Amino acid sequence: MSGPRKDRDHAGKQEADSAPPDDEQRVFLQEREALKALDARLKKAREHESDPFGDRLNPARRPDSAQAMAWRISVEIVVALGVCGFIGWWLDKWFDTKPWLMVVFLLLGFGVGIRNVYRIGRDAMDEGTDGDGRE
Amino acid sequence: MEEHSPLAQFEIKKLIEIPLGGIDASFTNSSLWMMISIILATAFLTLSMRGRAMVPGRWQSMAELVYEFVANMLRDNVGSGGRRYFPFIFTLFVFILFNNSLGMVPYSFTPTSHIIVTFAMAVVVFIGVTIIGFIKNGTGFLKLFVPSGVPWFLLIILVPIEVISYFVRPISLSVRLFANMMAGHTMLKVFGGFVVSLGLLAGWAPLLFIIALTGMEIGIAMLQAYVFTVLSCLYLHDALHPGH
Repeated sequence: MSGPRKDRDHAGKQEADSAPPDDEQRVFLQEREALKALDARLKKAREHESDPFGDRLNPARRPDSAQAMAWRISVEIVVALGVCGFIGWWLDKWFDTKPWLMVVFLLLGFGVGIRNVYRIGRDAMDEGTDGDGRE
Repeated sequence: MEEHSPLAQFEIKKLIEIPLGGIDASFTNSSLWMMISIILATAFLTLSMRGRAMVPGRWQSMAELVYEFVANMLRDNVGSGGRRYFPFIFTLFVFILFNNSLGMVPYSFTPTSHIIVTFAMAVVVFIGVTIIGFIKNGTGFLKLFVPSGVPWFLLIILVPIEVISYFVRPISLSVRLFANMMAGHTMLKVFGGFVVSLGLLAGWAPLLFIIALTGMEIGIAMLQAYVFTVLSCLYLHDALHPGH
């Protein structure tokens, strides 16, 4: 509050007769400064505008949160192994070829799990390097 | 505490028996809580948007937040042509979100902690995405199983892997949601049991842990609703633009 008044006093001493137009100009300049500051703040706010959930809960904008990523990866490996193991076990019972098909399918399941994790990692890296890395 | 087993909370109870031919189509507590979450979600979205104000109030901005969140997710993950599937993805997200969140209310029931519920949703996504893929790309959809730029002798190994990984999708999708919900609720109950059995002397330690766990569970309820929908979006993306 004391800043502008001091400024005006100072200006009044310097150019006493042309005070009214100078004052007007000063108010104009001050307003323009204020508008500029508002503009900067608006711009800053606009950058975050499409972040409806803020930074913390906004996975749609940025890549997956670490926790979501961890869940995706771990479940991917376990489920691929489990499903392939089950298919092998079931086919073994069907064809009466006990452990062999299950062994083959477990290896295959391991491959599937690794492949899926590799893909998740690749997509995440793409997203990390250039905005939207998806194709 | 009348139920001592931490798994008793997942028990299905028939509320109204409906024998439908040989099929047991009874109205259970699971159906009841799914219905409650549908009614609450509908009420939340319609009532909060009733005003249709230019400057939204609290409720309206909450509804708009959910809408915008899903719309952004769809735009970022599906890309072009994803807009048409917004109603389905939005419904899926809101349904799972409400089911998961209502599960955090004491004495409630969490339908998403049953694998058959999550598996049904995952299968709907899986079949729908497969049909969309074939309609949009014809046999070109099969390119999804043939990674480009790979020598033929590697394709012999990679194609079966890709095919299996495609069919594993609905299972991993449903297991992820169900395991999270079931594990979290079981943990809460187990530690609840510790509080009771340790009593006034040492029960405070697990109680503190439960407080932290409850916060984490609420986070997981939202996170898993998001993960389920975002993966559905990714599968939809694969169906619309196969062959990466």
